[in-house]
Amino acid sequence: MNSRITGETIFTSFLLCIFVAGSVVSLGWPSQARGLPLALMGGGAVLTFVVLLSGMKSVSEEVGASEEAAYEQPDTEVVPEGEWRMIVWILAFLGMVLVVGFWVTTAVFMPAFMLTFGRESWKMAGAFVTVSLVALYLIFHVALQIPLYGGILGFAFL
Amino acid sequence: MLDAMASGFQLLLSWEVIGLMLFGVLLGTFFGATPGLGGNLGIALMIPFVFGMDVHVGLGFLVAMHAVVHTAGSIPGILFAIPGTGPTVATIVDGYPMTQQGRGGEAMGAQLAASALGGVVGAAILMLAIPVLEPIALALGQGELFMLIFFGLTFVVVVSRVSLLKGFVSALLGLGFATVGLDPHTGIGRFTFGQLWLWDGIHIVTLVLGLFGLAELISLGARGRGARIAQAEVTMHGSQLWDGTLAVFRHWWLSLRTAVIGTFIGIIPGLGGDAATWICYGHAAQTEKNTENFGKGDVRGVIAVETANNAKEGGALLPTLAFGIPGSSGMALLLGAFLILGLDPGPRMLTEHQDIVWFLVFTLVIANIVGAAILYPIAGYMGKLAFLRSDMIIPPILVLATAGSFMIRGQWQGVIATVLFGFLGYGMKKWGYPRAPLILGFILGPMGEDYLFKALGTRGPEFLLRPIVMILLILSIASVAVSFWRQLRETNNTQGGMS
Repeated sequence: MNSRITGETIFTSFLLCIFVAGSVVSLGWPSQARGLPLALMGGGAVLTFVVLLSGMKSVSEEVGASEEAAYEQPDTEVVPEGEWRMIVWILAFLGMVLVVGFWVTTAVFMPAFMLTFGRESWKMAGAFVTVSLVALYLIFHVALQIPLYGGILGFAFL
Repeated sequence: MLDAMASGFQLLLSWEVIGLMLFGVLLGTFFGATPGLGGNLGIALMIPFVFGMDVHVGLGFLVAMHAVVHTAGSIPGILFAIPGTGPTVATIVDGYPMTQQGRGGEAMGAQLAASALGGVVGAAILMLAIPVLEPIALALGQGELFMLIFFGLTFVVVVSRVSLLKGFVSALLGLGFATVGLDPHTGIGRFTFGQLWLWDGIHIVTLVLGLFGLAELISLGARGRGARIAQAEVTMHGSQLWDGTLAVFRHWWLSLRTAVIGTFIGIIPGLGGDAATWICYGHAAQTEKNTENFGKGDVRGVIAVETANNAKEGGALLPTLAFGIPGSSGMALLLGAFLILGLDPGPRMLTEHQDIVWFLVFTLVIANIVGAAILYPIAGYMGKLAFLRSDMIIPPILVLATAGSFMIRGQWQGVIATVLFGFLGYGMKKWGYPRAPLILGFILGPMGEDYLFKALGTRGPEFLLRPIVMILLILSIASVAVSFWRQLRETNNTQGGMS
């Protein structure tokens, strides 16, 4: 119970930081431009602070299952290490896209993910990545003629 | 008028028109169903091809394409929480939970039937409204438009069923994100931090792909390798599609209401499809009975959004044709196509080219029906994708979502933003912050600010005393009060039941 509540407190504090930072930043603009953002960010900071306080209060009062039930579409099967594993996978994907672009990332990330995360066979991973690359090529390169990002190293297709 | 109607119908009766309309429907389906592409890109890419065509042939092709974009756009939203187009975002709120419960077929059946029905109703209202359009459109000034947006924002209360306070925080976050970019009135960069790519603000698709699409992928992956989107062990079969279709007619009064509301919102230039779908969702959640499952997989949520989504296109065509004022961004592109084809939209269009107007009405009707008919046989197969293992779903969707966010503006920073919004969305989902209010705030915020600025500039605070503004203000207060009262009653009932 505690780890979830702690996570919520951290997340709410993070939102509070966004609102406070937004309020501070908007103070630097001329009055005509800052009116709405300042009101929104200030209001958000106040409300988030209230959420934070009520969340901390509920920790001490022991909420447990009743609060669990109130969460939006809770994933009952989620395991904490599974979350972090997915976040690392997505960050790895993002890093690859930024460095080597979409084509190479698709060719490397897809089989890597399927083989290690999904423990699929080489045959399945190979077929999957081939079909995906062909589909990407047909849709973006042939049909739409939209160049996909080639990354810092500039691996744009053709 | 009957002569014009007959002439308009005759224009339809050629193989060239029918063939190109079918092609347009297929293209629209593709562009709508592919996240990040969207109908606007499709029309923009196809406009050069209609150059030199006969007016009705070119317009039939483009309007047919535009008409089905949103029908197809909801499919990836229902299956993977990745909306194909902006206005289909609201479909996710109930459509995706239905897929998770193994009711994806029912959601798609309802979506297709509601889309077709909405499109036909929108076109029918377009027919009836042509003679009475002008006074309605002229009655709405900047103040009225602002208050209409304000009214839409009150639906935050409706879509924040889990926690009202967190719903407001979420909405304020969305409104805050909407202020990113150059201030349209002063030219000051707000929250741009010297980054050129932020000058145009955050694109709705970038936000939604992350907040919903990526967040759901993280959620799916976190459940392990054997996880499937559909958490319930229910086999997808044709009867689900049929159940969903029947639901549209079982809730016929809701379908009709939201179609009519959607059409009228579509008529108002600048409000756009996003506002129409959310306002209709809020309307359904507020006026229907037994709404405790809204946001958790209620078919009525899908019906309300989808009827409005397609109906509003009929409405949006009205100001485009009658005043040359596009009712939506898609209509702005179509307006360009009208001009390229030698038509001059405006009041004279309704007198001198009435046959073309009727032709477009018929095209809307046919395209909506044909579009849904084409999608019905393949929807069942598409629904089965929700039963694939997570390791087969995550990589292609991740590639498609991030490629989509890159393509929106051709900026790699958009990919980073999508991933960051994905983490934010996952956090919100996990810790009980409803995401729908954030989107609602993000969509309606900039429009509201703009109309408020103009209303204050032209009339000062006295604009609040105008009759329509006052009616809308009273409706807004009543809407919030009723929602509060309902929530209080539901809480009391729950506590009473528990004790």
